[in-house]
Amino acid sequence: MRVGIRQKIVCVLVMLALAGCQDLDRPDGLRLAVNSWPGYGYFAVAGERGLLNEPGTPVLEIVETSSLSDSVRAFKRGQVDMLGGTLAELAAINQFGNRAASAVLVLNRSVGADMIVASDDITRLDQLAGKRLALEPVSANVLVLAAALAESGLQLNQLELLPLPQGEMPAAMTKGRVDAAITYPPISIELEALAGFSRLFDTGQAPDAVIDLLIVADDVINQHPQELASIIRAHDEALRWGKNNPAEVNKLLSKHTGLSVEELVKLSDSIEMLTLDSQAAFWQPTGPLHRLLPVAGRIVQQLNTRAAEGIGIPSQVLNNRFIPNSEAP
Amino acid sequence: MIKKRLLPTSLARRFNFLMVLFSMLGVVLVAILSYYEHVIEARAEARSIAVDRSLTIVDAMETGASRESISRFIFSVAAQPSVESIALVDAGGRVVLASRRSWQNADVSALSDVIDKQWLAKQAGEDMSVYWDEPNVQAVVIAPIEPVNPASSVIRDLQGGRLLFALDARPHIASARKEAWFDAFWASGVLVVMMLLVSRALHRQVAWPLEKLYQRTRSPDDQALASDPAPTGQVRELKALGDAISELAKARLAVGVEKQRLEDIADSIPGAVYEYRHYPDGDDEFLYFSGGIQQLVDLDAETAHAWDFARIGANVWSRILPEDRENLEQATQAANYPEPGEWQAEYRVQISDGIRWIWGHAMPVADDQPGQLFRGVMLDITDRKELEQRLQQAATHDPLTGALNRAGIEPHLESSLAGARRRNHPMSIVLIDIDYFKNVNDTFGHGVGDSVLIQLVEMFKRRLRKADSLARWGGEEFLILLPDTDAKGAFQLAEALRKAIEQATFKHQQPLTISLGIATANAGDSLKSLVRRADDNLYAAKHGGRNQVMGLIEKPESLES
Repeated sequence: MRVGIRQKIVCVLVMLALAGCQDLDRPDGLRLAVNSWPGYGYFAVAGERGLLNEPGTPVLEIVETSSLSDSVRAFKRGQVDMLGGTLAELAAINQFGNRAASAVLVLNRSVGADMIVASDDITRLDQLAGKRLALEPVSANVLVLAAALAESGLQLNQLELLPLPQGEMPAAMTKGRVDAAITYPPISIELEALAGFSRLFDTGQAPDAVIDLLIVADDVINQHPQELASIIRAHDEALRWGKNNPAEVNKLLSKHTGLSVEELVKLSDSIEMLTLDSQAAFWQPTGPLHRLLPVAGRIVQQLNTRAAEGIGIPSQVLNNRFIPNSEAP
Repeated sequence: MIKKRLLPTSLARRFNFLMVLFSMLGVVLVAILSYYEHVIEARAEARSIAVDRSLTIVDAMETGASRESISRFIFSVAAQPSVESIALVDAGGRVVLASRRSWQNADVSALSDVIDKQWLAKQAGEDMSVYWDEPNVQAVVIAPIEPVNPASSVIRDLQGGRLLFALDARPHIASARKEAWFDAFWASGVLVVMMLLVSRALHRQVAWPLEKLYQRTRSPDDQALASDPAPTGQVRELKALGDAISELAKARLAVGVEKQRLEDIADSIPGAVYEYRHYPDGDDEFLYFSGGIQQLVDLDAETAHAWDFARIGANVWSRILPEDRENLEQATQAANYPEPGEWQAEYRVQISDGIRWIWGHAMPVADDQPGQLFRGVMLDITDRKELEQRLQQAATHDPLTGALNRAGIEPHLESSLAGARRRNHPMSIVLIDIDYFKNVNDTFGHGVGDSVLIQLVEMFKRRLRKADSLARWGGEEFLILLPDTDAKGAFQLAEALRKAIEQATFKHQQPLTISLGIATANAGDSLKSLVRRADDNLYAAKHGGRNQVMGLIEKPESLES
């Protein structure tokens, strides 16, 4: 049978079109932004332990940042697919970013690790009134502040807030630019070590105020749920191994956080790492996540826009699909 | 050689084959060019980005207020997806600041899982250098740290150290490959489509009409070729070619008709016409035979219709009787030397039911080919030959007895006498007369007389040798020529004949005798004198009482003397 020239041309064009339609969205790996907070360090531990090399687990590239705000910025710029952060970062991303994200895992709860360090002349929280308080505008500091405000009865407008990156806080304190700072390790350790400064308030007094989360872009959750689940499993395995091998895990954490082993040991009392089977309570509709999210959202919005009243954050940003034994919200 | 074997001989197929071949080559070439163009561009881009980022970091080192701010800046830059590593290394090889905390305060070799050792070991030159690491697909920048007036003391401590920057170029290269493929596919697609269109146009306008012309020229039917216009399309050259082929076919048709007419004429003559070429070295060949040759020499149909004239010529030659071949060769020789001339010969050929006489005649024809061309005719002359033989028989033989007559034997006598003289051999004749034969005719009638004569001749012949000749010399007179026979031998033979007749019984049941006169040739004898002497001896025998032989008294040795 003679095939006409038109059919031939159409065939060639169709073949070319099909050849051109390759899957351009397929990622080579996922990128995670973490600052030096030890609670985020177990992804690096999972990597060191080879837990991320299992078949089906995507390459996880850990991008180290200086601070949570740098992690958020990297996420907003599309440089990373996920980050370690708190409800404050989750709220900030969803309120002011152009890229939606959800929390999929509770990494740890800070018990006393986040704190307010103040000059020795301030001994009570209410003495902060009229003082200059340094804090990172978008970070757990916000949550510590919220808890502290609740504890002392102070109002937000009674304080002079000075947004400052964590790394610059020690210098600002010693030079007298601020009277107090909301901080967390390792900077908190540095600050407490400075003469004339001591801890005024910590999250031990408000244990659920600072919860660290794995925050993932919604498009990654929707397009690569299996890859994400395998990363979460690897992280959980790293946690379990770490619990049984505290000395070794501290060595690895030290390498990736820049903290010494001694510092990590000291910190370990105030950081409670949460495995998968201890997640469910957090994700309850009445649990801390759902309770704190709206508060955090409001504070973040107020801080960023100076608005009197913030708008709420939809509860869908708490995505429990990767949490075993968790009820659907 | 290979090319010749691979290429189809049909123009259309060869055309398609070459189109496909060139298209494939074009596609491969486009793909390769596109690939290298994009990949080289991507490498250059990656190097350029690496240099750009490194310069930014160098500037930041100059202006960064504190270790923390510079570290933060490094982390920010490193957060960009393609930045693999940034490390500020002091003069002693210790990493002071880096994009990973695990590298900080470690030896530069800690970066070896990201940057190849050869780059880690390399010291910074005076200026920033950028290297391409092919195995790791990286652009590596090594820049000297020479701050002029840094804001931070950390950077001052780094004086004399180096900045190590590695950019992961895999996304660039992968993207370049995708673009290359995309471009290659589209460019190839356009190429293939254009090739197809060109191929189609050329196939329609050239290859197909040429194919049709080819098929038409392969057809043996000149009539159709000359009358139908060739389907050559609109191409001027092809139309001219088609017309030329039609004209050629017309001319060929006319030549064919004329040839057929000439062949019909040639075939219609009784016999055959032929062309023959004789070469100086004695070789020869037949170039043509008309159709009549089949019937003339009784060729089998297969040979005749093979139109292989050399084969027909060989067949004709094989049928010529061996005793005639020499004559033919002599005639051929005579016709070619010294100058070409008329050739003719009569010869016999063996056909299935006997012998056929052929008269061949040819005339030389001048042409520019080697050898001498002859054109001639072969005619069947068997009837004429038979007539000639009958006439010859009638002129030289006695119609009653079949023996030679006087005219018939006289040449034998002449030649025999001449031969005897030449070779000095004896030669004799015997003249015989039947005694009282008139009485037989008168008594028993001429019918019986004729029978007696016939019986007598039969009896003579039985007793003669092969070389001897017998003739009826007169009414009841016979002459016997005895070559190589002296008088004594002649007498003995004559006496034997006489006795045989004397003892024989004839049809009329009466005894019959003969008288015989012998003459043996002498030197100086003429035919006449010899016959007269024999006649004299016969007369003497008659006169001496008949039924006797006379002539021995002669002295035959006189011939020898």
